[in-house]
Amino acid sequence: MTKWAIVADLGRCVGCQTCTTACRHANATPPGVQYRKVLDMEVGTFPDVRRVFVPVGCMHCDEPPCRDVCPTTATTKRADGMVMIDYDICIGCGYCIVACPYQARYKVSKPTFAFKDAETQNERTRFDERLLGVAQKCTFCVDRVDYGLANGLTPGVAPEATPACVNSCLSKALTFGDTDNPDSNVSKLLKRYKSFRMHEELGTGPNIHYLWETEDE
Amino acid sequence: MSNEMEDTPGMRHLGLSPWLQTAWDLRAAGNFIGGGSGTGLLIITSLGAFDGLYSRVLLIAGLALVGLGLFSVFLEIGRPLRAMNVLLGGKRSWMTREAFVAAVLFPLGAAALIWPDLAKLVWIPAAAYLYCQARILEAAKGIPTWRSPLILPLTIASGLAEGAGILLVLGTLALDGGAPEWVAGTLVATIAARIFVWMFYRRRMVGGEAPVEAAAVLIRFSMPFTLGGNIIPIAFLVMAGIQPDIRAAALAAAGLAAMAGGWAMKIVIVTKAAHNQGFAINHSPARGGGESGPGFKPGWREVPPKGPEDNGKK
Repeated sequence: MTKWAIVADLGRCVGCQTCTTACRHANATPPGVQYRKVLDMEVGTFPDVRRVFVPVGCMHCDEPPCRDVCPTTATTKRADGMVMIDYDICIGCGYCIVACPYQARYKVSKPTFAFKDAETQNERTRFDERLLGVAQKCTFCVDRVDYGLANGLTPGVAPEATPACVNSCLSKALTFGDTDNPDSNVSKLLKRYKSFRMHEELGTGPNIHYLWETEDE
Repeated sequence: MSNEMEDTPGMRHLGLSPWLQTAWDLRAAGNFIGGGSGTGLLIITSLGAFDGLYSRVLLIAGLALVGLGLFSVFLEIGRPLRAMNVLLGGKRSWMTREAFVAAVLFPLGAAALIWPDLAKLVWIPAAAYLYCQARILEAAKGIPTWRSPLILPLTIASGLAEGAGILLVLGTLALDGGAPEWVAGTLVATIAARIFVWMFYRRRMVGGEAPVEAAAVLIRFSMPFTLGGNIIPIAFLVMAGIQPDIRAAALAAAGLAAMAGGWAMKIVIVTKAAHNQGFAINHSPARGGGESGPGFKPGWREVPPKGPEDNGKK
């Protein structure tokens, strides 16, 4: 089996938001919709304060609550673990949005553009009417992954088959790969270093893993 | 998504701490109000049929409330023309199951208007519908105040209390001789159940199961709800018992207050105390040769730090 996941090294992430930008470019998301974003956390109290940058987005959960509540079967989980939305079936009830504990889903009911009413050429060209009034979220760049697999490439290794956010990461904080393959890049990282997953106590089985201690003993 | 938020798309995510969800607004709350009150009324009316109670007014009112609730949520969806797709997810979704049950409830309720004996069966789909509504909230894992297991008995108890309250109101207005005696007792029992569950629910939310801001909303609401929606109806019922002159008015007032209390509770839980989960990390990372640090869960009451081994894989 295959289970796609992202490993985010919190020690490496510098909060540059390049992944956010790359994602928005790849998916042409409207203002306010960020499939991938990086949280800027200030942890601790003076004088022991540290700043942590945390990439978040759809966790493509093992047990996605968004799928379980979807009344239309628009939200599905592929055999490789990716949680997808069929925009042609979704009725935009918003149930998945309140079911997601990672605030990863969005619904936009009317076209919005970066410069208010003045859409740019890029926005006009890439506007997708199907996304209006329905739920939308990160797809792990499924088109790139599927393209890569169809052409014998390894997602997470070959850039053409890797999500845009991971490709763009300038500090190599993000890694994409198959956690079911013990020899994959992500499996090696998870085996070697300590990690946690966000809100794991909710039983969702999120598939973004956060490395928090990567110094070899 | 509320219109307000659509106009300011940049406000859809507000940072680290849990923020108030905007995907479900008053229209969604309307579904829980209409569905809860309507099915509560239908359940009590239907069970009353075994005691000789039969009123087309009550049946029509119950079905109308459920219908209004469904219409209200219809106004919320982004693609109304695809509304029938809601029937596709019966394998997992309580929203679909609610729609299935509605497809039984309405024909059966309509048939009971013609054949009174069928009124004795209406409580079955009505109870199922009310149960589905409670499970809809409970399944929303992203909203801590909804996913509590106590939301289930709270929603059911409130629906029954609202139904008993409406029966008292309509009984005064539309039934010869008013509502049967046992309805007042039913209202007392269901209000007692509701306030009992509410106390535990509130305590758990305030105790750390909900974000601080959501808990604060519940704290502010608790006193007016306890007084206005629960104690005042009981006081009116007592007045009805000791002052025959104002009995009808006091019963109607008790019913009205119990119903309004339930409606207010649902508006608060669905639209005011509906903060999402927010974000959290279990550990701060070690950078370079430094050491790792504590976790961080902004917007929540401070919880005891976890041991360094949790989730650690080496």
